Amino acid sequence: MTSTHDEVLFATLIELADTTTTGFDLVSLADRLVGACVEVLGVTAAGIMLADQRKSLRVFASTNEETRMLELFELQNNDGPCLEAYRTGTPVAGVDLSQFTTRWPLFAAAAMSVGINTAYAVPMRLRDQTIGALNLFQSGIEPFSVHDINVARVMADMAAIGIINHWSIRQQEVLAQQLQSALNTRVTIEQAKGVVAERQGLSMGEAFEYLRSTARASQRPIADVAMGTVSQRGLALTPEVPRTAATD
Amino acid sequence: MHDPGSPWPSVGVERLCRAALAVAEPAGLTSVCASRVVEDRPRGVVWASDPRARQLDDLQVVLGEGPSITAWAEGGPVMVPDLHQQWRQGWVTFERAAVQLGVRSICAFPLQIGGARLGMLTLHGTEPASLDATQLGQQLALCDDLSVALLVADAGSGDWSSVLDAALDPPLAITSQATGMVMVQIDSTIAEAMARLCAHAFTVGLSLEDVSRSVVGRTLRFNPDQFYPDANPDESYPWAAT
Repeated sequence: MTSTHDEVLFATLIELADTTTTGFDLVSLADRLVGACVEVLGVTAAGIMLADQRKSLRVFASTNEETRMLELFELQNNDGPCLEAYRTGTPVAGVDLSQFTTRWPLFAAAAMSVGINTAYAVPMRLRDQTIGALNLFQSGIEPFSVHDINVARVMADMAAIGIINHWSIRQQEVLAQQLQSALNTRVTIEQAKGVVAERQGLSMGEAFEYLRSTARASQRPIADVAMGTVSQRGLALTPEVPRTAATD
Repeated sequence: MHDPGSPWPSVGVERLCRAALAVAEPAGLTSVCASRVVEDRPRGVVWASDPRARQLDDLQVVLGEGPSITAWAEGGPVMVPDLHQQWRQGWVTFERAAVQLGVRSICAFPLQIGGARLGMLTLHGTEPASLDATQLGQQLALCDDLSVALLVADAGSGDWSSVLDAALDPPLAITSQATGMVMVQIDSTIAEAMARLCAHAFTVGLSLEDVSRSVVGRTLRFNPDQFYPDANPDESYPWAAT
């Protein structure tokens, strides 16, 4: 339904416009952006990857927080549409990945093994730099419409703007710092997922959902909740996690 | 100047500090100091290029304030291009003391891997100075390496670089997840958990990524009472080091 899709897009734009307010949560925005990609474009999964100082691509947000999906994204440091989009600064489409096994041997095989048969990557550009890419994964092999491709490009631009707005408020910071902060935040979140998954016997996706709902309930950014989780010792009590009885 | 009290080899840290200096010197930042923080407590200088660099670090530890402390606490670099122009409210004591030392400009970086905040790197100069965007990018990359070097130093002696680089710099998602799990399993800090994972990978000659995969896949489980983790944790397993 086009009107519902427009509503989702507008809502995301409004949230982006709020990036100048205090309490803004960049991780939450990125999370909503990739979620909006799935809602509006009907893809199986979406993810944002950012490049670090040495041009390694790392996941910054993903609609699927399970380990296998994250690994599929990260595999693209070897080959894949994301790496190409990042390097060339132009969108890259891989419709029907069985036709791309020569071009992307590692990625195509891994993607198809988990039921992904089409992959798009739209570069995220800021000033003259490509800072990363928005990835879209699909199980089907129908190509995107021009409209859908334009939506994807708008999403990628919004993600890039969100990143730059978040940190330029605090002080004059160059892009390198902003990307560094974003990537380090993500590492903290992954560490926190591990802590929660182990403490509560959850999958990584469930652990992320736990962090996200805790953040929402306590009105704190996800990054803060994650940092709090990993700043304690392993078995420390947190208000949200009841201690299970010790067993012998 | 190597800290004689440090119990671990710091060659990796020295090399990286010298590289940081090589990048920063053309900008006018001519001294560097790397120091450790363990469980939120400063644990001393690991390497400093000259006495004043060490003094600047000590000063901030004693006062409990300063750009390096802030960088560590806030998780981002702090630049002070000219100490003669008051940079922050409430830093009067630090600014006065630093100026007395002869320090005029400072660039301070946290050394961290996610939530593991391992230390601080402080560059300083005797004239007003600041890094340009390219130099800053290079410093940030070096700080990533320095964080790993500090971590590796915690994990023990040995040449870990081959084991660690691909999965830690910056960390893969699976490595970070495994670190969080181990933190709970051995009831430690996140930094200790990371060091433990690294030590195990090195000991058994596996990549950190493979070890992380086993931990996340729950076929490998660490234990606070044992040095070696349990593979197939439902049964006792005599783990043979290769």
